Amino acid sequence: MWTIVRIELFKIFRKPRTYIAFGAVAAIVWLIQLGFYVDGETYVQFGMQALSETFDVEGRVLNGYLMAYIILQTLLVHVPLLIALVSGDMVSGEAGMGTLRLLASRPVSRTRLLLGKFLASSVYTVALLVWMAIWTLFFSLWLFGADDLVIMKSEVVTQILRSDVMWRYAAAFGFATIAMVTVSSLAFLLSIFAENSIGPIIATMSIVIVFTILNSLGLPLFDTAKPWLFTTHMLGWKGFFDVQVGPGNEQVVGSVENLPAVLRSAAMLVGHILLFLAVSVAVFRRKDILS
Amino acid sequence: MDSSADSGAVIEVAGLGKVYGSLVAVDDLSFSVRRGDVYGFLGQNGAGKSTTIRMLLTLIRPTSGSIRMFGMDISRHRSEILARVGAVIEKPDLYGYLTGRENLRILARLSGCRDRKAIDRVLDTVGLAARADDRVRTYSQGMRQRLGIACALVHDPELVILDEPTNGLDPQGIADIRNLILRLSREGGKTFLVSSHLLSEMELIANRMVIIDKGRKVVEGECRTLLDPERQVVHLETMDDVQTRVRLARSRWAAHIEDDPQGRIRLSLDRADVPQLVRELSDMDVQILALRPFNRLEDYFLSLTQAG
Ligand SMILES: Nc1ncnc2c1ncn2[C@@H]1O[C@H](COP(=O)(O)OP(=O)(O)OP(=O)(O)O)[C@@H](O)[C@H]1O
Ligand SMILES: [Mg+2]
Repeated sequence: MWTIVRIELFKIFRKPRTYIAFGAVAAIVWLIQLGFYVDGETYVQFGMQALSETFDVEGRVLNGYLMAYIILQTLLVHVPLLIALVSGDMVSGEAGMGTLRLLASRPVSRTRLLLGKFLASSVYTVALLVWMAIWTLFFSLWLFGADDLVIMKSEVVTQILRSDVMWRYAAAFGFATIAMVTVSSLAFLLSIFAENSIGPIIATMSIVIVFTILNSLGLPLFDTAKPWLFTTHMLGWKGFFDVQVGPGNEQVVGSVENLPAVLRSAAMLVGHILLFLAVSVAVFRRKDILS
Repeated sequence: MDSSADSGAVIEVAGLGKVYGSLVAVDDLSFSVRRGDVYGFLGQNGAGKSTTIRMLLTLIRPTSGSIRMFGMDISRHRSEILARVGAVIEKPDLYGYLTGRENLRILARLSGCRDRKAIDRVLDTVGLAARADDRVRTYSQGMRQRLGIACALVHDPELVILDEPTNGLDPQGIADIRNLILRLSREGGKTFLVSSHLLSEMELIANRMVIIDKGRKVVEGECRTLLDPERQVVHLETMDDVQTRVRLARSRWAAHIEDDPQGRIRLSLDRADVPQLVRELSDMDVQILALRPFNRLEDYFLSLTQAG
C-alpha cells in the first residue's frame, strides 16, 4: 500500500498542474497582504470608527491574526477548485493518458490501487493547507506582528486575547483540512467516471457552488436540507473563533461557544468522506477499464 | 488437438464471451497457449483481439467463460498470476511527463520488482539506454513502443502479452521487435502471446496461432501445419453426417478429424491423400454430397496476406 502511495505522490509532484495550486495560494495571499500593508490602517480604522466610540480597543487591530482571519475567509471558498484540480484528475487523468490499464493490470488489487491514490491526493490536500497556513498565518504574523484578534460577526464584536488565538488557528486549519479532504473525495469519486479531468473538476465545483447557494438562500424548502449538505459544515472552522461568555459577561479563555456543533460538523464531513470513498471503491472494483 | 488437461498450458481460455450492449465482441472463444510458445493471435480490425487481451489482464469482466493462467483461475488468483505476466495493451501509453527510467521504475515497483539493475538491463534489451533520462513526451512512436515493451519485461515475467507491438514501426523497428521476441523466447524461455492483423508477420515468429473473426475462433493450431501448402482441409457433407462421423472415428482417418465451430465434418490431410479418402468413404458406404476444400488462411486473409 505504501508503495502505491509513494508512486502516486511522486506522480502528483511531477505534474505541473500541482504547482498551479501552490502558486495560486501564495499569489492570492501575497496580494491581500500587500493591499493591507499599504492601505490597511485606514481601512481598518474606518471599520472601527463606530466601535471606538463605545469600545476601548487598544493595540494594533490590524495584526497578523486579523490578517489570517481575513485571508482565510476569502481564500477557503476558492480552495475547493485547487483541490479538485488534482483530485479530479487522479483516475480520469490516467484513463485519458491510457495509463490506467497499465496500473490495473499489475498485481495490485483495485481497492488498494484506489485507496493508495486517495491517500496520495489527501496528502496533497494536507500539503496545500500547510502551505496556506505558512503564508496566511506565519507570514502575516511576521509582517504585521501579533496582537489580540478583534473580529466582528453580525454586529457582535469579539476580542480574543493574543495568547488565546494560536490554538484556535491550529484547530481551524485542522477543520479546514477535513473540509477540503471532503471536497477532494468528491472530486476523486467523480474522476472515476470520466476520461479527462475537466468534467470532474467542473462537476465538483458545480456541486459546491450549488450547495453553497442553497445554503445562503435561506428558503424554508432548502433549510430542511441544510444540515445534510456538506458545504454547510465546511464553514465550521469559524466556530473556533466564537468564545464562550461567562456569567459576568467576560470571555472564557480557551473556550469555544458551541463545541458540540463544531464536532458534529466535523463528524458529518468525515461521514461524507467515508461515503464518497466507499462508493468510489465499489464503482471502481466493478468497472470495465476500456480506456 | 489441444487437450485442456495439458499441464504445460500457460493460458487456457474456455468459452470466453464479452458483450457490449447489443454487440458481441468475443463469442464462445477457446484456445490455449503452452509454455514456451510464441503464440500468434490473429484477426482483422475489430475481431476482438484487444477485448480478449483485456479480459486476460482482468481489465474487463468476461460476460461468460473462464480463463486459467499457470493452472490457476484468474478471478481467484489475480495478483499471483499478474505478477508473472507483462503486457502492452493497444498503444504503449505511458507517463509523458516522466522520463523513460521513471516510468520503468514505477511499473517495476507495482509488479513487486525491487531490483534496480533490472531497469538498466531492460533498457539495454530494447536499445533505449541512451534516451532513458529524457521525458517520454519527447519520444518518437517507435521509442514509445520499445519503452512499452521494456515496461512489460522489467519484472522478468514468464508470460508476455503484446497487442500489435509493431504498430507504427518502420521495417527496421519491426525486425528489431521480431528478433527481440525470438531471442527472449529462445534464450529467456518466455512465453509470448502476440496479436496482429498480419499473417505475414505472424508466420515469421509464431509457432502456434489462433485466428479469430467477429469474436469467434476460425482456426487454431501449429503454424507449420496451418501454413503447409501440402496440407488440405476439407469439409464433408454426407447424407447422414452422424453415421459418417461414427464410421470415420473408427477408421484410420480418425486422427485427421478436426473441430469445426459450425459443426461440419472437417478433416485435415495431405493433399495427396484426398483421392484415397474419397475411395475409402465410398467403401464405408458413406454417401458423399459434397467435399469442399477449405483454405482457412488464404480464404480469410486473402486481402491481408499481401500487406506488410
Ligand atoms: N468500449 C466498447 N464499447 C462498445 N464496443 C466496443 C468497445 N470496445 C470494443 N468494442 C467493439 O468490440 C469489437 C472488438 O474490438 P477489439 O478492440 O477487441 O478489436 P481488435 O481485434 O483489437 O481490433 P484492432 O485490430 O482494430 O485493434 C469491435 O467491434 C469494437 O467495436
Ligand atoms: Mg486491438
